[in-house]
Amino acid sequence: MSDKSNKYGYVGVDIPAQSFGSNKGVFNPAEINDLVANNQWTTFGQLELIETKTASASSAVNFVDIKENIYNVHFLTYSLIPSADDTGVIRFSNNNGTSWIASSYQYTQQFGNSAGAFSNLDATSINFLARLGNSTGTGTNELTAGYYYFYNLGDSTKKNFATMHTTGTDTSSNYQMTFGSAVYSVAEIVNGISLFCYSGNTLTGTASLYGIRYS
Amino acid sequence: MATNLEFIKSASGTNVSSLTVTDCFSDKYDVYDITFDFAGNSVTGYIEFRLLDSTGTEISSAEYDVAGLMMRSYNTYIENRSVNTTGYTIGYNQDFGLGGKLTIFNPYDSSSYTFLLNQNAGGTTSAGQLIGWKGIMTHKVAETISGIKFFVSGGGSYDFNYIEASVFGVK
Repeated sequence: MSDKSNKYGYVGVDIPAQSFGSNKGVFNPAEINDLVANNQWTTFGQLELIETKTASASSAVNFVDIKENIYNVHFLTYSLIPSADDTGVIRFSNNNGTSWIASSYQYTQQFGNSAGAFSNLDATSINFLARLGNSTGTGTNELTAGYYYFYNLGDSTKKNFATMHTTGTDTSSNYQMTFGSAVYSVAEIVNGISLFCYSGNTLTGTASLYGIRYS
Repeated sequence: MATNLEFIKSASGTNVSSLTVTDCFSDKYDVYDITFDFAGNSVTGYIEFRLLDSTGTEISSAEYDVAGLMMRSYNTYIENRSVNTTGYTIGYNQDFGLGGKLTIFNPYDSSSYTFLLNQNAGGTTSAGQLIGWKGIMTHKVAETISGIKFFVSGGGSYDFNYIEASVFGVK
């Protein structure tokens, strides 16, 4: 698209179309702001921090402004310790955290620990998306940590998928890990993410949510 | 130390049997993240993956070693592994839909093998069940790789209803 209006340093000539990776001209601050707003300005750093939450004996860590209209892929990191032996899990919201969805999830996670136990953790109908770890203990440094990728949260035509890899210490002080996949099987917009203890204990620690622009 | 992702390019298609992303690797990065999502159609099954050489030609020779764990929410898990194979089975999908990410190491380095990590969440039919996938792949020839290709393995009516992929350099 081109026009002959006076902008980007051009006067009275066809103005080149602008896009990420292909900006041509001399730009003033207002023009740059407009191009940034329209995803047409070339700037690197597509892993963009949305929000970091710090929890202190919190009943949940909730993200309710996840900018799902901007990002197709979200990246979550966390490092949390429960107030008592418990398993951390995730739920979604479709109403910005007014309520949390407790149906239509499936997950599949490979579990393993330093004591030699390996098993499959999975469900075809469950009331949470997936686990942040598995039965995390409360001793010194016995936290659960890991990352999740979320796909399609802002697309009302697609199911909402997740992949994860977690690490931590279980209630017997065994070092443990899980990796796997999960889905919220309803094609609708998800606009909230909640991390909490399944049996009602509190969480202390941090969690950060990022968006991957242009994903 | 990696500090961020830098967008390189994206590609997409609808009602296609393959998606090729050309000239997405360069000497600017050693490591790449690739996000992708797609849905097959009701009869599509295993989804395959290959690399493109420096001329953009698909590498279909028996030059790949692969291993993966197919994690089914509804049944036992399946190990999927092979040496000297002609491609990499990257996941499974009918029309359930799928989202995932690849990390690729050293594709443009002509003196190194190319290595890949894969994790995704897909499934069976549209109202069906979850199939997760975690796997690795190496291309055992030290040569410059310029791009990637996703394709369905069945031919005929096997297809992607849609597919899209975005390539990022890890800086």
